[in-house]
Amino acid sequence: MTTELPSAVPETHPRTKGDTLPTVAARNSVADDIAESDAGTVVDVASQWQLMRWKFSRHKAAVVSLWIVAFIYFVGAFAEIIAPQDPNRTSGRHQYAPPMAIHFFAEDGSGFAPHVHDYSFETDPRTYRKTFVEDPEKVIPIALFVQGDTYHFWGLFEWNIHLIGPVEPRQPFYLLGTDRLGRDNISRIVHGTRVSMSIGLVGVAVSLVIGLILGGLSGYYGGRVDHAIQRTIEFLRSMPTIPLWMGLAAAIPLTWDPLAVYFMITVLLSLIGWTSLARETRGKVMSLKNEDFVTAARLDGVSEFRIITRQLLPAFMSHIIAVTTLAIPEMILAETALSFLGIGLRAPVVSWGVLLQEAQNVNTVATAPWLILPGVAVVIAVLALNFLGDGLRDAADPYSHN
Amino acid sequence: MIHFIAKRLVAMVVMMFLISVAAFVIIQLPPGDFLTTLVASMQQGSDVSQEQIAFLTRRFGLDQPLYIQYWRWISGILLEGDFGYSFQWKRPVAELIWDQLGFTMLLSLATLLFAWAISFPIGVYSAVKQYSIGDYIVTFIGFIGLAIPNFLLALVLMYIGFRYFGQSVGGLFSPEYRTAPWSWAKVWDLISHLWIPMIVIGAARTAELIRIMRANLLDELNKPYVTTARAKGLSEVRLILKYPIRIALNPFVSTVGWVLPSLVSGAVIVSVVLNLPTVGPLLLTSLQSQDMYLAGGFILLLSVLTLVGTIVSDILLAILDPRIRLE
Amino acid sequence: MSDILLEIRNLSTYFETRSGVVKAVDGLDLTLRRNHTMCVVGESGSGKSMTASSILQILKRPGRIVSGEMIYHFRDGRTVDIARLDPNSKQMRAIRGKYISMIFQEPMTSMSPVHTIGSQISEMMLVHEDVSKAEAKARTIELLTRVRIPDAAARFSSYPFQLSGGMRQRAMIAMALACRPDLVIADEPTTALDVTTQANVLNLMREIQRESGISIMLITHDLGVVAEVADDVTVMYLGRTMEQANVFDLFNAPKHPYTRALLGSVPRLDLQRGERLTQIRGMVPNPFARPTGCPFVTRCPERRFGLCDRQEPDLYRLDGSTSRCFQHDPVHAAAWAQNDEVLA
Repeated sequence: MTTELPSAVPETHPRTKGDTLPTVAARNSVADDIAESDAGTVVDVASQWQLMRWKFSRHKAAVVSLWIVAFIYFVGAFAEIIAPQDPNRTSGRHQYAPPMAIHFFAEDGSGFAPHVHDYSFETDPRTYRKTFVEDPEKVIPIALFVQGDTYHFWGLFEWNIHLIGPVEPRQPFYLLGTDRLGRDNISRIVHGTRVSMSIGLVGVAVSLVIGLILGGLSGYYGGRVDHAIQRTIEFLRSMPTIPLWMGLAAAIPLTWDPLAVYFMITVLLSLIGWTSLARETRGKVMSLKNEDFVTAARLDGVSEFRIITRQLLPAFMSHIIAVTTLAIPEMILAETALSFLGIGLRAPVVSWGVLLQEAQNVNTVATAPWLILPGVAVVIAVLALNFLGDGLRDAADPYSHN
Repeated sequence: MIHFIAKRLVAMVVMMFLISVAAFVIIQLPPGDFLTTLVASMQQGSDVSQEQIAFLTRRFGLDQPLYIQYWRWISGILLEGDFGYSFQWKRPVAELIWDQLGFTMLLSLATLLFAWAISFPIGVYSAVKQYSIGDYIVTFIGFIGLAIPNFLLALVLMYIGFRYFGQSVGGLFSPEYRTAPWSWAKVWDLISHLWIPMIVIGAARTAELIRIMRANLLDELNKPYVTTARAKGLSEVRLILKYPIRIALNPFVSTVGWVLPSLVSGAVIVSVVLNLPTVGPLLLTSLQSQDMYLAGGFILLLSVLTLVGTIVSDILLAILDPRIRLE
Repeated sequence: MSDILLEIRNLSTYFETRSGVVKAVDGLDLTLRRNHTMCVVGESGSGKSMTASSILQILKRPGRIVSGEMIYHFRDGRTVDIARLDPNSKQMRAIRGKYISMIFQEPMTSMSPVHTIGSQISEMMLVHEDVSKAEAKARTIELLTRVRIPDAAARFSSYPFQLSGGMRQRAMIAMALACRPDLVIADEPTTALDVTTQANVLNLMREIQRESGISIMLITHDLGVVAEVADDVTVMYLGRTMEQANVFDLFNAPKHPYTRALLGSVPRLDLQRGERLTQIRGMVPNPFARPTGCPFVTRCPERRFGLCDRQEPDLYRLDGSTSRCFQHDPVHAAAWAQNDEVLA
């Protein structure tokens, strides 16, 4: 405020010739400084993205969520390495085995020696049910970056290094327990991350393309085009989605390749998903197309296509990104629901919904509550994406104050 | 008003037509036709002759072009209430559908009322006491409510019930009432079973409605007419009840349009988990066994009933809002 | 019965926000006479509307009255300091609408869109007076007729969106008059209307004042309106009174440099050809960065250095008017006159 200003300060309110007042002389006085800085001669300029970033960083929950989401996608991307073992490796001896605890120090006090304990089996004398008990005698040493099951990393090369695992390959190591066939729960959840999180992304990408095009056309041209697209959206939204999806998903032939099923399901989810994005786009385009800067461009003879891509799109892109982020969790939830019912993705594809299928009845859940854990993964992912989207939406709106 | 309702009704008829086409497409989608399935299942018992197949083909009009098949199907439904034949149950679809559909609608509507009844006061509280601790708690719970898939919530509740109370929480009736004729005791039994599915199905939508109510009311609380009312000397409680809440109610009521479809969807999934005698389990098995007339009938009726619910809410909105009623 | 209706002394209303304190009203003095029209003028951000909201204690959060007094004189001679009342108290609510009522800028948004005009007006009577619904309705229709709304009985059950802008503002006036208040505060009641409607509404207000002997506090930035309707004028700047005078003195012999600057920026018919309108240089300072010394010092063409930017002038009582400028301070006037270092 009190820094000295250069003498040739331009006046923001130029006075006219007939004015009797003497012109401003550079003067080192408090009053002058106030007058000049108030007149806006020193203005910090921040780009729109920078403003968004500032605003976003104030939204604590959203910042934390951003890291969580980044972590989840990281896990999905490097699933083969992070998972301790092959998600489809079964073990007849370890059906419904409970989670193991990691012990960091050796029991005899000889220092740092991370290990888990193998199970012993006890049979209930009355019910003859086999129960697992951790046996402190059976020590299985574990380490980081150990050799284990081989895999094709991203289909590029074969490798067998796992982030964490037993030092001795193929020894039992079940941090989050096992399922009906003795498959490692944590490895399955990690691999499910890739499928569930990517189906959200791919589905939203498809929705985004359809939504942007149809919403943009609807908002930009208005009239009959708008009417037709709006009625279509209303129609799709008035249908209960789950029965509709169930009907369509059930029509996917059982003989199809799992990858084809995956894409088909994505397309089905996008069938409804595009409507909300189209609505947002339409609203934004409608409010923007009559703005002065668009009219000015039109008067300058700029082509329609260029107006849309150069004037309109950048103006609402930030908003669309926020809405898109909010659409991903809906996709994830929908995929989970369909797969849970057994009409979405199918084994051997591993997604959170497919995993939850294992926990369909209460008896299973009572025997092996850890089979609910993929659901916890769903909740965390959806929660984080929702917070993130909320933060982005607030940041994208320069005039909101919350 | 009459003009408005007439317009909505015309739109509804068009929508119903489109829905029926969509349902018919779904019936037709599985590879082959249902006759293949039928023949396959008949062959397991006895031999099916060529004549029989030809007879069935003619009977169901499978040799006709699609639009004629559609016409036969829809006219059967409209004129005779004939929804076709369920091959899995070997009974006409119409016989199978109504009970389940009734329960589904009952459950969805009860859940809608429940979601409203809960979200309205909480949303109002959260807006009026913006930035209070209560508001933060409500907002946070709301976020969680939106993130939990309803079937997962159902599983968790069932697990808790099983583990800590030693009872199963599924079903709509206690065993002794399941086949009993209707009586007041049975109705009461139904009501006492209804609340768990209601919470499970309604949780996410309740959370969403709280957010909507809060946002609407916050908007309205800052409108000049609230200041006017304050300047009149009305007490704070009275003026909030009479003006902003009354006006925030309008968009709230109009949410039925999308809340109802999602509640019906939720009811379908949750019913599978909680083993409720609603459309869910039957629809799922019919889809899995490609019993397409049954599945198509369900999808058609669920959609149509949802549509009717939406129209009712539109009319309700018109009654509430003079700007819609009088323009 | 005292000639004075409302005395505001040193009123301050602050908004404590996260980014700092906004002093919307900052030591305001103002005297309202019974049966007179007081116009409050000033640029946007001068605190005119906040003054109105303060009088009725209908400030939006986080605004609150931090100091000062507002002595209201009832007809029976009792007085009350409104500034000391709790905004949510019964006494305050009894004053709102019954003794002091308000007409807002935007009649469309200031009325509930889903309640009829009639119910919104008669509510006022039902809240403050012991009347039956039928009585209130009859009186409302009477009021609507009085503010010249045609076919008043039918309009009773109309909704605001069914009326034209002028009609809505008339209905708003009817609402303000419902309980025969002593003071009607009108916050820019005509800015949202077109010019002919403006004149009609102003005429109506004057007429009503003449008939029923109420006081009007009219908030406006339109000096044309001031010349038309005012008895007294208060000029506000940055939440303070700069000058209060009767309308003739103010236009003929403006005391304060700010008043002079304001009057110089209004187009007049007697302006010579080629003569230019003057503009007040600079802008109203940022509410977070108020100047030290006189509030107007950053823009004043007559400011004196070493004086105006150091000390804050009081509100000096002159013959029948007041002015907040050192040139009217008996102590500083001489110094002010000698110090010829006029700075632009």
